Amino acid sequence: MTAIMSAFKRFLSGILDDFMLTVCILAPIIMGAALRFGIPILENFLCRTFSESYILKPYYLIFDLLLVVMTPMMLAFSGVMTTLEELDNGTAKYLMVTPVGKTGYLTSRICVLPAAGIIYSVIVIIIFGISDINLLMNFLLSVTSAVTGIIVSFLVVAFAGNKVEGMALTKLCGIFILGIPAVFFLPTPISYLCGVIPSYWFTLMAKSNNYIYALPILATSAVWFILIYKKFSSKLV
Amino acid sequence: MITTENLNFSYTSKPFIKNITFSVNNGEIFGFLGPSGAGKSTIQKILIGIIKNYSGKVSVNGCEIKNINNSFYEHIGIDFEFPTLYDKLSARKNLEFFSSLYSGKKRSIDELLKSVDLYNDADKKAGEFSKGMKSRLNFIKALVHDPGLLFLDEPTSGLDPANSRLMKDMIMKEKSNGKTIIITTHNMEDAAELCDRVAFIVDGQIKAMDTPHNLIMKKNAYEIIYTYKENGKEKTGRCVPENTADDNILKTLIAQNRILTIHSKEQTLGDVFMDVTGRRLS
Repeated sequence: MTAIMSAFKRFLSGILDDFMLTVCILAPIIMGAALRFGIPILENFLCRTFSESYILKPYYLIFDLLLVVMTPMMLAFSGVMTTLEELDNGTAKYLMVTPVGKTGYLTSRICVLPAAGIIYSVIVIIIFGISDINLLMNFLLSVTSAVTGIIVSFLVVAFAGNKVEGMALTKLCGIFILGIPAVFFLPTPISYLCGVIPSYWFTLMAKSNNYIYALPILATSAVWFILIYKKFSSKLV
Repeated sequence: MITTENLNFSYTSKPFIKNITFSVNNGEIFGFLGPSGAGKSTIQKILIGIIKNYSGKVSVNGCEIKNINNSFYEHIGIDFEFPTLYDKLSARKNLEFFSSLYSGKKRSIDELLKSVDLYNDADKKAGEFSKGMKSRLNFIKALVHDPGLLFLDEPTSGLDPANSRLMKDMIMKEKSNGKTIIITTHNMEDAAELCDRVAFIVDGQIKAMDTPHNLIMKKNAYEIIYTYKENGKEKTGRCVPENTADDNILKTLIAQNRILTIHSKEQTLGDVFMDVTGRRLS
């Protein structure tokens, strides 16, 4: 455990030494503040301009869901960039043959940050949320977002050859949040196409306030893990 | 210290590592020699627990590799061919970090830095180091936790003669401190100089295994070459040391004081490798 803690501290220092990655860690707060204070002002402006009683309000949940997803995603992005650098300079390979081990390495690099992102995400929503997400739902959404963050980390590490490719792939992984607008804006039979993405079920869960949707979230996440893990694991040996 | 029995492994359905059986004793320097792609690094990956889906028996420090846990790495040190360092950290910070991963007795970082002539550059970032400096730092990184068993992958690869000499001296010093050392290399001169025993690996199989001296001697590798003049022309004669008394030309030349030059010639380990395996090292 001491070895894993040491490895994690080094990992965290690596992130904090990089300005861009530090900003990524703070991004959910910046984004949350922008949504919390900007969206109601924008709503007032639009309502006055178009003489409507509400325009954006029915979609406030979308903004909150984006915030929930973005928190672990941004943390995962910071982690992935550092991991790719370690794969590039060989320190990842070396750490796996120290008392840190392969599992310890994966835990310290891929899992701890998104897991910390759960608490971060819950707090961000409590402070900056603009819809009425209750605490249990907030927690469940944060957990499932963390799982998505880990999937994205696996995917980027598995397929990116270096940091530049990693950045491009992370942007591409934005499709993992397409489930959110799909639920709101696509007609039902077509929106099912997004059912392969955990965020689709995650949005249905939040929109209907029905926890049963946690099951398809788990199932789709498990399928993604199974599909990616072999490639991911081979990248580390 | 290390024992393997009928070790087999493949990345694909086609056999790659085939029936490897050997043992390495405490305090020994054992070398795996072979061309690129022969399977040396794969065997090393198995020995250090990176690959576990092999068949056969592999025991290191008394542990079957399939069953090792992370504490196994408290007792081994690994120096990969290419430096594995944090470029943004100083040499000292790199060593302090890697040292912090181990729980047992540690070696003094200052002493290690001095031993490879990096003490004055200890606070310089590793990314600013030359290749030779990085190799030296990488080597002492494997020693911070004072392991009893060292795995060195191409330890002198790409180094200039001075750095290569320094590295070989360091390896010999570790051996004199009682360490067991496994070297993977395709450099025959280094292997002949450093290793107590070597194994020739080709196509995933051990083709020969012995001390470098015995391997050379087994092939009748020594010969005596002499030159003399006959009818105004310089001629060359050869004989093996065991047959010197039967070489009538040589006997006559000695009796008549007609030898121009005489010297012995030993084959190198590389020559023996080619004889045994029919392959060149590349």
